[in-house]
Amino acid sequence: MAMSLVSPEVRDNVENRIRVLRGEQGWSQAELGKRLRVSRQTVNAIEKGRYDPSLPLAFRIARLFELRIEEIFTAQDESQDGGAEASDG
Amino acid sequence: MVDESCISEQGASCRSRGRAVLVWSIVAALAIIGSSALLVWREWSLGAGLLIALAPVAPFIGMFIALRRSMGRLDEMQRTIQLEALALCVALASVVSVVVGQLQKLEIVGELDLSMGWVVIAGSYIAAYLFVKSRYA
Repeated sequence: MAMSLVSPEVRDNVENRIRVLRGEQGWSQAELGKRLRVSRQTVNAIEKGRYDPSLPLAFRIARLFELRIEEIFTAQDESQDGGAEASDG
Repeated sequence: MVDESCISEQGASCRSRGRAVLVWSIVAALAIIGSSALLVWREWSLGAGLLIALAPVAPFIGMFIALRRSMGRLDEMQRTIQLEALALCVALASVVSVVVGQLQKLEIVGELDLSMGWVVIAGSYIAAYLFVKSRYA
């Protein structure tokens, strides 16, 4: 889950490439929100890493950009390790 | 606040539902204030007194129905925010009620009208909502 009541030590930070992917498509946050059936505010929070989307929403995002989930979302420790664990599967 | 949380393709409908919650909340608040004032103002027969005392229940039911419809239009993050705000609101309202209760024992605070408890709950909820929302912005 995202920030708020959960302390930073407990949270698993997940990074994502949504802002870049959205930019490539030339979509605004509102437009992406419309396609994903979420609010612009939620798109903004996901892009900033303040909210981690649910699995169904992550699948919708992946389907929209025609990518796999792990090509969009990366756990921070994975990205620091060069994505070793992600590439195992 | 309502506009921002609306899902784009449902914008107009969502905004009108948000307005409905606001309108019903204002009507409920006015009904409580009006009802309290009328009950203090003069002696009523039992039937009339009951009618006036329970009059605020109707707008509150309207507010709950509007709130339920409005919640159905929120996306997953907005629901998370509402849930966390609710949890904080309960904690805040509990602390306030305990503190006020203790202060009453010391007679620092006088007798309070129980029907005004909604003010504490509403105030706690607004504070909690703004706090939680700011952490997702």
